Amino acid sequence: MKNKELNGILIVIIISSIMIIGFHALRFSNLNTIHDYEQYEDINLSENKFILSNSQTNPDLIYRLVPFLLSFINIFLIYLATKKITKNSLHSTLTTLVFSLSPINLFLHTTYNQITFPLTLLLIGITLLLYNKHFFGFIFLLTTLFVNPNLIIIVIFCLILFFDRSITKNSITPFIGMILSTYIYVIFNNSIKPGFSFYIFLTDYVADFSTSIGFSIFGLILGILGIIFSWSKKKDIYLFYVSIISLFIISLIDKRYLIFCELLLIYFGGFALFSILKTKWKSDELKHYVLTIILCGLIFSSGSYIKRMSEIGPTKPEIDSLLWLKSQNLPGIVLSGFEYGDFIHSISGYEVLTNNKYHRTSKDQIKIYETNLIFQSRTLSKIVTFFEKEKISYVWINKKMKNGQIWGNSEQGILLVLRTSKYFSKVYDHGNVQIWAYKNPNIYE
Amino acid sequence: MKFKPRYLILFVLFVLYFGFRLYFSSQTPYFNDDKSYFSLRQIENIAETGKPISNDNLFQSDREFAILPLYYYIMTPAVLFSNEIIAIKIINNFLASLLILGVYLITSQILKNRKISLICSVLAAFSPAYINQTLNRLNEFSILIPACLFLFYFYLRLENNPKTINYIIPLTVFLLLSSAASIIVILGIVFYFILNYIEDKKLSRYEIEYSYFIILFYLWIILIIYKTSFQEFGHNVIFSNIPTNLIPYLYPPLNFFNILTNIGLLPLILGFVTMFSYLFIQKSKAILFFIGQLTSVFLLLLFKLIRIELGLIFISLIFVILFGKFLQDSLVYTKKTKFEKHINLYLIIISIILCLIQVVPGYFVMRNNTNEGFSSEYIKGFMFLNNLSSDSIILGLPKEGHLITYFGHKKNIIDTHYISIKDSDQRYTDVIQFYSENFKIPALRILEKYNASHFIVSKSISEYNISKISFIPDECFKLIFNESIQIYEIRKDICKIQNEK
Repeated sequence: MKNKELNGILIVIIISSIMIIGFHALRFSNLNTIHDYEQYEDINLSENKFILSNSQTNPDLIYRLVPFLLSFINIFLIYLATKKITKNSLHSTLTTLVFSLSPINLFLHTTYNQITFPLTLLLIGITLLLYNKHFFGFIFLLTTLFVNPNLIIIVIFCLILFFDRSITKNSITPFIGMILSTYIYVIFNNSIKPGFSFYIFLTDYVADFSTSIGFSIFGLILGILGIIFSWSKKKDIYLFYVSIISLFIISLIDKRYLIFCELLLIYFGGFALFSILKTKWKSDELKHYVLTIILCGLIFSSGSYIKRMSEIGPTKPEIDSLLWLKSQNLPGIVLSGFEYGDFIHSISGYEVLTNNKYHRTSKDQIKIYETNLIFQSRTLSKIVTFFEKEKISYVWINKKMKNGQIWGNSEQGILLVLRTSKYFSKVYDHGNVQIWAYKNPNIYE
Repeated sequence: MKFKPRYLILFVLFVLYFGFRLYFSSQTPYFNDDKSYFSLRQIENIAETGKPISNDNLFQSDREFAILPLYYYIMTPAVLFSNEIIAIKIINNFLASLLILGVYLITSQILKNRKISLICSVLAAFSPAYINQTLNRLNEFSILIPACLFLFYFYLRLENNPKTINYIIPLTVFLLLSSAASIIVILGIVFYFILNYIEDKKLSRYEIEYSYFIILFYLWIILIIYKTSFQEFGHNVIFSNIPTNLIPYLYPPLNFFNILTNIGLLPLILGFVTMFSYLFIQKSKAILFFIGQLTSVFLLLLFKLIRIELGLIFISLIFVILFGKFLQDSLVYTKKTKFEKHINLYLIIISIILCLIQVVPGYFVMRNNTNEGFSSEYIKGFMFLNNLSSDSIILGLPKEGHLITYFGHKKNIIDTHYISIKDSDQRYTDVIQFYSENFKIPALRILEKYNASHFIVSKSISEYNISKISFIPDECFKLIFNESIQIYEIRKDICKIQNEK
C-alpha cells in the first residue's frame, strides 16, 4: 500500500473516529444512559449499577468501546474490498469517506447491535473472496451465519455476486438466484406491510428526518447520481443494482437490511464523488461549489443525526420513574409500547406484556395488536376486560408515546379514560413520564 | 462605460416608479396585512439581538419559527437608522422597484430592442398582482421577484458569457436564502431541460453544471431550515401546515378571470400567441426557458404548492416578456411591409393603448392599496392590550394574531404563521367555533382550553359569516375596550368551568 493511499484511509478513519467520539461526548453530556431501549434486553440493574446479564460486567465496555474499535476494521475492510472491485484507490478512499460520514456508520459503531460484529465477519469474508482466498472467505461467511442467522439472505447475495464474478460471468443464473431468494424471503415473512408511501419512505428510511437506521439525504442523492454515472458500465455491475432493489424490498420487512442496502448505495456514492472529481467541468467554480455542498450536506446530516441520537431516550426521568416503580414491589404486569418492554423490565423488575423479543419472534403479534387497540380505545368495559385478562397493574407512558408515537393529543384513546375513570389513578408524574395504576373494580367495589 | 441615453431613460423610469410607490405606500402609517407585522417583529428582533426570533414567547404554547432569514436581515438597516415605519417602506419599495431593471435587462437580452424593453418594463411594473403584494406589505416578494429576474438574465447569458458565473452564484445564494418559493425557478430550469430535450436542442455545459449547483444548494438549505417542521408536521409542511378548512380559500383554483385581471387582455392573448408560435413553429432557447418557467408555475399552482398571489406575479411577468417578443416579431414583420416608415407611430399607438389598459388600472390598484391598510382606530384597540398584565393570553381571529403580538405585546392563540403551529387545525377550528357559539358554556370551555384571559371581537368576524356573538353581553365577560374593536376580559372568578371527572 502506497503512502498516499495510507494517508487517505487514515484521514477517513480519523473523520469517522471524530464522529463516533463526538456522539459519545454529546451522549455523556446529555443523558449518560445506554443508547437505545432495545439494548436493555441484555442489561440488568444490580445494586444501582447496570450489568450485562450474561457476563455480570459493565456494559459500557462492550456497548461503547467494542463498536468503536470495530469501526477501524470495518472501514479498512470496505477500503480493501472496493479497491479490489474498482481497481482505483481514489474511488475506494472516497467510498470509505462517504461511509464514514453516513448515519449508518454512526449507527453501527456507536451502539452494540446485532449487525456490527457480523458485518465485520461478512466484510472479512468478502475481502478474502475478492483476494482469492476462497476457503477462508467461505469460512468467514459461514461464521457470520453462526453469529447472526438472520443474515442468511446477505450471505446468499454475497455468494451469488462471487459466483457471478468468478464462474458464471454475464449469465442470467445469478440474477434469477437473487430474485428467487428475495421472493422466498418475502413469502416466508408474511409479505410486505401495505400502505408504503413517499411520506413513510421519508420518515422511516431517511435518517435526516426521524429514523435511526436510514439513508442520509445527500448520501441518497450521491448514490442515485452514482447509479446514473455508472450506467454505461451496467453490464458489469447490474447485479449491484438488483441487490439494491432486492435489499430495499427486504428492508420493508426487516429494517436492518437497509444497512446493507445503504452500504451498496455508498459504493455508488463514492463513484459519484469520484466522477465529479475526475470529470473536467467548464466552470471550476461550480465544480468546487457542488463538491462543497455535497460534503457539507453529508457532514450536516451526520451532525444532526449525532445530535438527535444523543438526545434520544432512555432519559434520566424515565429511569427514575422505573426505579420508583421498582420500589412499589406489588404484583402485576406493566403495559406500555413493546419498544420499552425490555427497558421497563430491566430496571423495574416488573414483567411486561410485550417487548422487542416478542415483536421479533411472534408470528401473529397478537398481543401487540391488542395493546394498540386498547391504547386507542375509549370503551371502559373493553379496557377493564383487557386489563383483567392480562393481569395489568400499571400503564407506563413517556413523552414520545404522547407526542405522536401512539397518541396525537391528550384526549385520544385510553388517555381520556385514564384521566376520567375511577378505575385508574395517576401514581407517578414527573419529567414527562406518567405511571397510571389500575384499581381492580372487584376490590374497589 | 460610455453613458447612453437609454440608461438615463431607464433611471428616470426607475425613479418615477419608486416615487410613485413610495407616495402611495406612505399614505398610511400601517401595512395592509398582518403578516407584515410578523416580518416587522423579526426585523426588530434582528436589530436588537442580531438574530431572528426562533422561539416565540408571544404564543400561547411552545413554538419555533422555521424561516429563511435573508429578507429580514436586508430590511434591518432601516430599523437601525430610523424608528419610523417609513424607513422600512422606503427600503421595501426600493427593492421592489428593481423589477423595472430586471425586466429591462431580460427583454433587452432576448429582444435586442430597447424601445420594446422599456415598454415591457413599464408594463411589468404596473402588474396588479405585483403591486398588491409588494406596495404596502412587508414580505419577501420584494426581493424574490427582482432577484428571480436578475437570475433569469444571467442564466440567459451563461452560454455565451462564462464570466456570468461570477454573478449568478452569489445571486443564487441570495435568492435561495430569501424564500422557499425559489423552487419555481429550479423546477422551471428542469422543465426547460425537458423542453430542450424534446426539441432536440443541445444544452450548454454551463447550464447543466449550474443546474447541479442550484438543485443541491436548494435541497441543502431546505433540509436545514425545514427539517424540524417536517418531523413535526409531516407532509403538511408542504402546504405550510395550513388548517384543512382554509386550504380552499388560500389556494383557490386558478381561473381565467383571475389571470385576465392580473395580466391584462392584450399581453395575455399575444403572450399565448408567442408561446404557441415558439413551441410549434419558430425556435428560441430563451423563449423555451420562459415557457419552462411558466410550466413550473402552473404545475405548482395546480398542486397547490405555491400561493396564487405569487403564481400570478410570475405568470404576469412571463406574459409581459412573451408579449415583448410578439411586439418585436411584429416589428420585424412590419419592416417588410409598406408600413416600414410608420414603425415609430405603430410603437406610439401600442404604448398609448397599453398605457390605457395596463398602466392606468395599475395606478388605481396602487391607490386602492392605500385604502386597504389598517386604520389607526383599528390598531388603537390592539395597542390597548399593552395595558393588560404581561401574562395575558388573547384570543382573536387568525388574521389578528400578529397584531396582538406586535402592537399589544401579548400572547395570542393563533396567527397566520401556521407552519410553526403544531395543532393549527385544532386551534383554527376552536377559534372559529368560539366566535360562532350560541351559548357561553362551550365558549368558556374553549377559552379555558387555551387558558385565555381576554378575547377580541372585531368586524372581521363577518368574513366567517358570523354577524353577532350570541353569548355576549354576559356577566362572565367584562367589556374593557369598546371602540373600533371590542376587548372582553374573562371573569374567571365567577365563571370557571370544572373538568368533569
